[in-house]
Amino acid sequence: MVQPQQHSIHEHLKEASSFIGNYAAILYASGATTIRIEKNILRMAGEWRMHAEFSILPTDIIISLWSENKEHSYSTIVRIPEGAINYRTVTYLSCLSRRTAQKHLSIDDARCIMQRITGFKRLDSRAVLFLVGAANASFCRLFGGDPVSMAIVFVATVSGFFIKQRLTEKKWDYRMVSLVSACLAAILSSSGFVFGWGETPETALATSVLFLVPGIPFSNAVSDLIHGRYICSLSRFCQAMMITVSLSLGLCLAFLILNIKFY
Amino acid sequence: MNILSVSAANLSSFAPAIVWGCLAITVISAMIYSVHDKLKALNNRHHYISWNGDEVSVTTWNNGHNGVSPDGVPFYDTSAEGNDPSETHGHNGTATAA
Amino acid sequence: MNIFFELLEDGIFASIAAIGFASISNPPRKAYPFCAGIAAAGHITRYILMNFAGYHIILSSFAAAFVTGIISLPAARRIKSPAECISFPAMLPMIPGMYAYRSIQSLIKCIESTAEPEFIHYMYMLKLNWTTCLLTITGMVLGATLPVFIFKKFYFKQKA
Repeated sequence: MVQPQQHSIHEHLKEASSFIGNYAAILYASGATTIRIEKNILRMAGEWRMHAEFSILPTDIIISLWSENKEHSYSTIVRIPEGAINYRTVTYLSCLSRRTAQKHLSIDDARCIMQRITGFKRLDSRAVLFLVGAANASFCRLFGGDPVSMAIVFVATVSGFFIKQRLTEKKWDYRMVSLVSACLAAILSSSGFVFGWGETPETALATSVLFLVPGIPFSNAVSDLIHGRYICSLSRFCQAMMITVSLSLGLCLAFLILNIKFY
Repeated sequence: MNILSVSAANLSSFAPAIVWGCLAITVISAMIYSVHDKLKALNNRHHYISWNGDEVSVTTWNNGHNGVSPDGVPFYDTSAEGNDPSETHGHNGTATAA
Repeated sequence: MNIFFELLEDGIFASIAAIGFASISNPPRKAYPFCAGIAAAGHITRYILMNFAGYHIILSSFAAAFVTGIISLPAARRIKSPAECISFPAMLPMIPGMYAYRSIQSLIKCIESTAEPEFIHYMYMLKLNWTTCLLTITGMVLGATLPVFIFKKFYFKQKA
C-alpha cells in the first residue's frame, strides 16, 4: 500500500514532469537551441529538488524526474507541437526558469506564468509584412541595387510574403508554401527585365527570394552541432534544407515560366 | 566567376501578361482577405455560396432491397423483393450477378 | 570621407534588414533596437574586412559574428534575454542565402548538362557555392557562440 507521504512525492514528481515536458516542448517549437532548453530544465528541476534525466529529440521530449533521495521517479514523453519561431516566448520562458530558481516559485505558479506567456499575441501580421518588404529592399541595396530595383523588390517581397502568410493560415505544407511564394516573388521581381525598369534587374531578381531563406533554423542547427546534439542538429538542418530547396525550385519554376536562362 | 548569372535574351512573349496577372492575383487576394469577415457574414445571411461537404448522404439502391456479396461486391437483388438483405448475404456463399 | 558614408550606408541598410527579418521571429520589443545596432556593427565589420582588407567571406563573416556576439552579451543582460535571441536575428543580414539557392540551381544545371566539361563546371559551381554557404553559416554561429564561452562568468551572472 502506498503511504500518504510517498503518494504526495509521486504526485509532486508527476506534476513537475508534466510541466517540464510541456515547457521543453514549447521552447523547442519556438526555436530555442537544445543547450538553452537543457540548462533551463536542469535549473528548474534543481530548484524543486529533483534530478532530471532527459532526451531532446526532434519530435518528442522524454523526461524522467527522480526525487531527491532517488527512491521515486516519474517519466513523461511529450510530443513537440508545431509552431513558428517565437523568440519572445523563448526569452520569457528563459526568464521564468531563472525566476523559478531565484524567487523559489512553485510548480503551480510556474504553470500559471507559462500559460500567460504562451497566450501572448505575435506582432501584427501587416507590420511584419511591411518590415519584411523594407528588409528585402535594403538587402537589394546591400547587393548593389538601384532605387528602382529596391522598389521592385519591395513590391515582390510584400506580395510573396502575403501569399506565404495566407497559405500558412490555410495549413498548406511548408515546402509548397515556400515554392509558391518564391515563384510569385521571382515573377514579380523580373519586371526589371520584362519592362526594362531600373539599371540592376539581375540584383532585383537575385535578392527577391532572400526573405524565404531559413536563417534561424540553419543557425540553430549549427549551434546544436557545436554543442554535440547531433540528432537535433541534423533534424533542424534537414528542415532548413527542405525550405531552401523549395525556394530554389520556386525560383527555377519562375525562370521556366518566363524563359529566363541562368548560367 | 563563382556566382550564377541570368540572361533574359529569350524572354517569353507572355512575360508582361504573366507579371501583371500575378500582381492582379495578389491584389485581388489582398482585397478579398481584407473584407473576408464581412463576406462571410453576408454569405451566412443570404447563402450566395453554399458548401455541403459536411453532409452525409446514405446511398441505397433497389428501394432498400440491396445487399453485399461475401466478396464485398454490392448487388441488386431484383428477384428477392421483400427479402432481408442479411439473409442473402449470410446464406448464399456465392455472389449473385446484378 | 567617402568611405565613412559608404560604411554608414552599409550599416543603416543592414540594420533595416535585421529589424525586418527579426520581426518574422517575433523577438521581444526591447530587442529590436539592439538587433539593429548589433547588425549594423557586424555588417560594417564584414564590409571592411571583405572590401578593404580583402579577406574571404568566410573569415570576414566569422569575425563579424564574433563582434556581434561580444556586443550581444551586455545587450542580452540589459533586456534579460538569452544572447542568441539578439545575436541570431542580428546575423540574419549576413546569412549567405544567395549561395544556398544558387547551389541548388547548379545542381539542376548539372542534371540538365549533356557533356562532361559542362557537368564538371556545374559540379564545381555546386560544390563551391554549397561549401561557401555551409562554412559561412558555421563560422558565423561559431563566432557568435565563442564570446559566451570566453566570458562565461559574465554571461551566467544574469539577474532575473
